[in-house]
Amino acid sequence: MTTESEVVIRATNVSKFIQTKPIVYRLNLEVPKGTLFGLLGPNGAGKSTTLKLITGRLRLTSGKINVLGMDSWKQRKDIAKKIGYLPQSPTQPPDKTVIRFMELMCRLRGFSKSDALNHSRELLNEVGLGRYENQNVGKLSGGEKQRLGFANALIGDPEILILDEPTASLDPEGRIYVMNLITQYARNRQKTIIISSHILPEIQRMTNYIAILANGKVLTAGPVWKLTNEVYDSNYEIHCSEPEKLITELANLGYDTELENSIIFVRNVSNLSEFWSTVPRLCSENHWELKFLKPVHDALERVFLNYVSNPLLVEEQL
Amino acid sequence: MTFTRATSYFQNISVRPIITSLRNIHIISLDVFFSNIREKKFWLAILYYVVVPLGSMLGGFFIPVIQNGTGIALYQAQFSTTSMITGTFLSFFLGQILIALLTADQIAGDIERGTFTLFRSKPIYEFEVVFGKYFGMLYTLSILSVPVLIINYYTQMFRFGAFWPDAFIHSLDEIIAVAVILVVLLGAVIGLALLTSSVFSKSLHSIITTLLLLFLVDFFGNLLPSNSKYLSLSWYVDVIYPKIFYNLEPVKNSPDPLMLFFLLIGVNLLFLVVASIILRLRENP
Repeated sequence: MTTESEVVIRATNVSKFIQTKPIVYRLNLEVPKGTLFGLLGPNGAGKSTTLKLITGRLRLTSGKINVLGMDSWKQRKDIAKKIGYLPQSPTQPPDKTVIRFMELMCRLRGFSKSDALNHSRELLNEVGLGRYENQNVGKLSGGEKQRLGFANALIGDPEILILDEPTASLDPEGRIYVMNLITQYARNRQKTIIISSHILPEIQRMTNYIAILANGKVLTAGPVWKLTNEVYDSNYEIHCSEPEKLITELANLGYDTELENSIIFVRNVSNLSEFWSTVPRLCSENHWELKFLKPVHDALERVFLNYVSNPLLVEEQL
Repeated sequence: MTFTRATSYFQNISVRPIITSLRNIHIISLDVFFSNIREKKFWLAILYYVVVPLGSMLGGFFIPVIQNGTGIALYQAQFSTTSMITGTFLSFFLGQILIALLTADQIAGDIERGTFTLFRSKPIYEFEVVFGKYFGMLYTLSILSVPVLIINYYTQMFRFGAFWPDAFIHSLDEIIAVAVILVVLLGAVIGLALLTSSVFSKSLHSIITTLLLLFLVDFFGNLLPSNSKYLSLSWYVDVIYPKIFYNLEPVKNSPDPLMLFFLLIGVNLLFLVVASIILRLRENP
C-alpha cells in the first residue's frame, strides 16, 4: 500500500452509469507518483471512461477522484493545467498547419503568443515533427498524427501524462516509435505516466506498475514484478533442430506433448525445475540445437488471463 | 454587519477566472475567424454578401435622379440601405443558407470530426468554446456585411448630391446605429445556428435544422399582431431602421429601438447559454 504523499491519483468507490448501464462500478485505484502506470483490460473494460473521469472530462455518478489533491470534477479546469491527455485516436483539424495547431493549443493552455510559438517548436522537435511544422495536419501519416497528439499532450510540461491507447491505430513501425518516445520521455522527465491498453506486450514494455480492469472494476493492481512474482505458466514451447526426436524423448518421459509447425508444445508441466533441466540436457547429449524454450504465456499474460478469464476468481477478489 | 458581509463577499470574488475566460474566448474567436477566411465557403459568402449588394447598388446608378440635395440624399441613402439589409441579410434562401452553412458546422462539425475533444483536453469550459465560436462567426459575417452597408450608404448620399463633408459627418451616428443593429441581428441568427449545432453530431442535420427553425420563427412571427411580432426577423428590420433614420416616418405601434436592441442582446445570450448547457450535458451524460 502506498503512502498518502506518494499517491497522485486516488479513486474511491467510483461509479459511472450511462443511462442505467454501469460503465465503471465501485472502482478503487491508486496511482503512485513517478510510476509508469499501465491500465490493462479487454475492450469495453472501462479504461477510457476511467481516464475521462480522472481528467474531469466526464462527471462521476458516485464516488470520489482526487488528482494531485484536487477534486476531478469540481476543479477540472485546474487539473487540466497539470495533466497532459492524449485521447484514443485523437483527431486534429486537417486544414491547419502543424505549427498553427500547436500554437493554438499552447495559447489555450495559457501561453502568451510568443511563448506559444517557441514552446510549440520545442515540442515538435522533441517528437520528431520539427520539419513538418508548415505542413497541413491532414497531410500527415497516422503515426505522425499520433506524435502530434503526443506533442499536444506534452504542452506545459504536465505533472501527469495520460495516454489512452496511444498505439492502437498505428502500424508496427509507428508503434515502436511511439513506445520509444514514451519510455524516453518517462526516463528523462521522471513524470507519472498512465497508459491504457489491451495489448499486453506493450504494457509490459512501457510500464512498471499495472492495474487490470474488467467490467468497470479494478481486479488487481500493483508493481509488475510483484504481480508476476508467484505466477508461472505450465505450458511451454520448444523449438529445436530435431523436433520429432525430442518429442519422442519427452513423451517417453511422460510429458503431454504436441508438434505443430516444428514447434513442440508441452502441456501441464508439474515439476518446473526438472523440466528446465531435462530439455537442455536432452538437446546437449544428442547434439540438437535448442533454439528456444519458453512459456506459452509470459507471467503478465498469465496474470491477466487468470483474472479476466476466471470470473469466479474475480468475484473472490472483489 | 450586512455591509461587512457584503464587502467580504465581493472581496472574495476573483477577477482572474473572468479574465482567463475572456482570453480563451478571444483566442477561439480569432482561430474561428482566420479558419473561416481560409475556407471556400467564405468566398461563396463574399459573392453573396459583397458582390450582389454592390452590383445592385451600381445598377441603381442607371436610374435617373429626379431630385437631389442633402435632405433627399440622406433619405435615399437610408432607404436603399434598409432595402439592402432586408434583401441581403434576411432573404431566406441564400443569406440564411450561407450563415447556416458557415455557423451550423462549427460545433457539430467539430464533434463529427472528433476535433472537439481537443478543446476538452485543455483548461477551458464549454461556454468559452461556444462564445468563442460565436464571436469568431460574428467577426466573419460582420466584415462581409458592415463594410458593404457603409459603402452603400455613402455612395447613395454621393449619388443624390449630399454636401461634403457636412452631410457625411452628420449621418455618421446613423450608420453606426445601423451597423450595431445589423451585427446584433446577425448574432441572433448565429446564436440559433450554434444552438442547433450543439444538439447534433452531424453538420448536415445541424444546417437543415437551423434553416427550418429560421423559416418557422420568421413565418410564425409574421402571423402575430403587428405590435408584438417579436419573433419575426424581417419585422426587426422594418420597424427599427425607419426609427433610427430619424427623417423617415416611424411605423405605427413600433416599439422603442433601444428596448429592441436589448431584447436582441438577450436573445443572443439566451441562445448561447442554452447551447453551452446542452453541450455540457451531452458531453457528460
